[in-house]
Amino acid sequence: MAGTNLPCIRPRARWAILSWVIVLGLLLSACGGTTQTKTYTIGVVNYVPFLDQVLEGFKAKMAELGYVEGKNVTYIYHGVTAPDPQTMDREVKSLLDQKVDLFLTMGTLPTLTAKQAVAGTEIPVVFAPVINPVAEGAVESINRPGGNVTGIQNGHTIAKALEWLHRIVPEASQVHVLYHPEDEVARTSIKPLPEVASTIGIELVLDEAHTPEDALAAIKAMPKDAALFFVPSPSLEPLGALIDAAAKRGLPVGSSSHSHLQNGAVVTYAAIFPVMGEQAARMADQLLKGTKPADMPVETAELFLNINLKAAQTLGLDVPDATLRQAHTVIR
Amino acid sequence: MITSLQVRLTILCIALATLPLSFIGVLLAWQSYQLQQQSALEFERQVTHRATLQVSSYITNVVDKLVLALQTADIGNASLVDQQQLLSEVILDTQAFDELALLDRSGHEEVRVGLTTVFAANDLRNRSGEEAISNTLTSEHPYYSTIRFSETSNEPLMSIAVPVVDVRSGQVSGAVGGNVRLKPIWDIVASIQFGDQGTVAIIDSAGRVVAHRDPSVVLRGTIVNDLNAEGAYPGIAGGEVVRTITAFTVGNQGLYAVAELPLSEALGPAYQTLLTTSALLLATLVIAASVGFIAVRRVVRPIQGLAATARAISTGDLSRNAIVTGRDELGDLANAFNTMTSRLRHLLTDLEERVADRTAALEGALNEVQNRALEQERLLTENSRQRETIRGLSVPVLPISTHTLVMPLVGELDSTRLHIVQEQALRALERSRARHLVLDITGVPIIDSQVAEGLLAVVQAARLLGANVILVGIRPEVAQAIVSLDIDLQSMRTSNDLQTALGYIAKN
Repeated sequence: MAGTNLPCIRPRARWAILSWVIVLGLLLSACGGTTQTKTYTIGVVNYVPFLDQVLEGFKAKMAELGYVEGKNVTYIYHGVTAPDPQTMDREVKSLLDQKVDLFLTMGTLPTLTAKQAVAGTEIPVVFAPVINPVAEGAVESINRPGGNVTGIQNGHTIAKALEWLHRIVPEASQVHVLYHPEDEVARTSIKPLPEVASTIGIELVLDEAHTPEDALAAIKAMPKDAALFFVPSPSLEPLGALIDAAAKRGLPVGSSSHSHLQNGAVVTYAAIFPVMGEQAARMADQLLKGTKPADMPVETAELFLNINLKAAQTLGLDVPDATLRQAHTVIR
Repeated sequence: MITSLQVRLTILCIALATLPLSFIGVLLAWQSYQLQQQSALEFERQVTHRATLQVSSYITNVVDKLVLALQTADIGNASLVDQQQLLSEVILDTQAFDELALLDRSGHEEVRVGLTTVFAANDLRNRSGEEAISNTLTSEHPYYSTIRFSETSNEPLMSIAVPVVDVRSGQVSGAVGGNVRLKPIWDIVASIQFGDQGTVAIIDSAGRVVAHRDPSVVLRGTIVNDLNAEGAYPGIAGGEVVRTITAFTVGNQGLYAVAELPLSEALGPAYQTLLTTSALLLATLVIAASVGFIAVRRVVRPIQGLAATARAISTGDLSRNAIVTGRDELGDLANAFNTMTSRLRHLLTDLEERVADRTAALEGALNEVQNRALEQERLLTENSRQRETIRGLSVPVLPISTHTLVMPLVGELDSTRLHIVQEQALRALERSRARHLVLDITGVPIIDSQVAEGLLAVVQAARLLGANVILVGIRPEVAQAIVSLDIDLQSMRTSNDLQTALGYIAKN
């Protein structure tokens, strides 16, 4: 019937129908509206294996906030990067070339490298965590980060973690701390320890270790009644083997990193990384929606006492009930 | 000025359809706006009330826990280690204190425990001058002081102090001072869900935000002014909101709970009403325009047709008929129009026929007159020709011989005849080449001076042609007359009769 030019409809009626169609079209277009889903690419840079837990929490919270991986968000993460500036720089630049919308950086070196790389662009960087972002130069101040970088600071967890180790093993003759002398993070972390040790009345021994082998040798050389305390030290990671070695020698281990609890540390006083990841996701959401990182204050991670009762019992340690009651996580 | 009837009527139709609807729509939208705003404010008041209860109970709860722990452990009489242990336990258990310190009656710290800091003996301070400590030691009641912000994390902290009472003596032996972390109330306000995007904030007496769903709002030190103003205002975290503010106190401190609902959400139904009304108005406008246009077209088109027909008739085109569109008044009008046109047409045809008849008659009469005129002209010509002939005959020239012509003149001679005589005589002399002309004036009754001069002119003209003129038939009275005229007749030969003249010619 093509070309019949609607013979049964009179021109006037056709005109009226056309008017109605236009009106309905206008009404529908006024009431409706198409929504186009924007997709995002997030570049993740990490140089400490246990900080992968941050990414887990981050992804979970992002999904809750509507950023579903594979649907409207893509994470580009090439795994733990070697902790040297050149490798880190290459990694950050490769992500930048892939046009990421946001960087999630775990630790100081990735954060500072990313900060340098995104200078002059609009790409925000969320760190989770950096221990002391102002001192490290990641942000200008906690209230007003100033540049493209903001995130979550890990708080001052080390002194308190050492105190908790002392409370659980007050009889330890010495507390040894292993650190890489060229590791900036480790050096910053151990700085307040001598004063804290003297305040709480313990003998602190700082052992330099350039390689994991050095660290293992140092552990073997420690007195039997000593305790071992780990500070963040990306150059010596992964620390699981060292904690195992300490356990074999019957040395109780304390740490300021929550992940070490799983590795056999008796006590940690630390931020819980998946929770920190969730906290970072909330910030990333706002940054992707247009909030300027310069105006988004640095948040502080919550710290929790965590006890590995199983490890403690293996070592024959008696953890007071009151302490267990206060613990956020207890591995039994 | 709109002159088209169709446009004016269409506009009238649209106005009639849309004006009442617009009026009602605006009225409804306004009413809905007022109701929605009231309802949003009422709703927010309930929310802020809930927030005040939760926030004040959080703070008083942690302080109560502290008081209970202190009382249970009889901290005043415990050992230093136990005191440290107790304060540490309270801090960790509640996660609500940044630090706690046990102070003696004079306000000096004896034990100091931090959530993240390990304090040494030299970190102990004299805090007797602090508002919370001095008030607690004086009043022997817990005291809640102003809110301050942590130097390291910028998180809000409320200084509090509770008295330490000796169980046996019932006397205040000192106090425990601490900073309650207000960060946990961020979670409390974040957990209060209302509407889709409703937010609750807690603000201190100085107007600074201490709790908000978005930590950045607190950490960047946002200040809210105008804490007494409710209604539509710029929101704490941006955008336009409808806000409600409820003041409440925690211990001695005044705080404010603010509930905010984005304007678009709070007044959503009002906007919806406005949108619906606008959509209806638009639809009505289009329908009114189309229906009005069609309806008006149905009325106006026949009128336009009639107007066009009338214009055609006014220019003389009586063949045009108005289109009859129906049996309504316009149909009647068209019928009446057509009847009128038809009658006019008949009248005109009749008139034309009569004019044609009259014209034919007049043309006949004119022809007749013209014929008569022609006849008359022909007669006049004939008459003239005859008169010419007669005139020629009245002055005859008679050739007597090859050399002699005779002109017998009869009747009176006037100037015309004299001119004809002269003309005839000269023409005959030229034609015949005669040498003698005899003018016989026997038949001329009167010779006056004019006639005599005329005759003399003929004689002189004939001489110029080489002819002799002999005047004959001069009667006695004529001779007398000529003499009396004193005319010179020397040049003129005369003879008493024709015969004598002819004889003279023959001799010469």
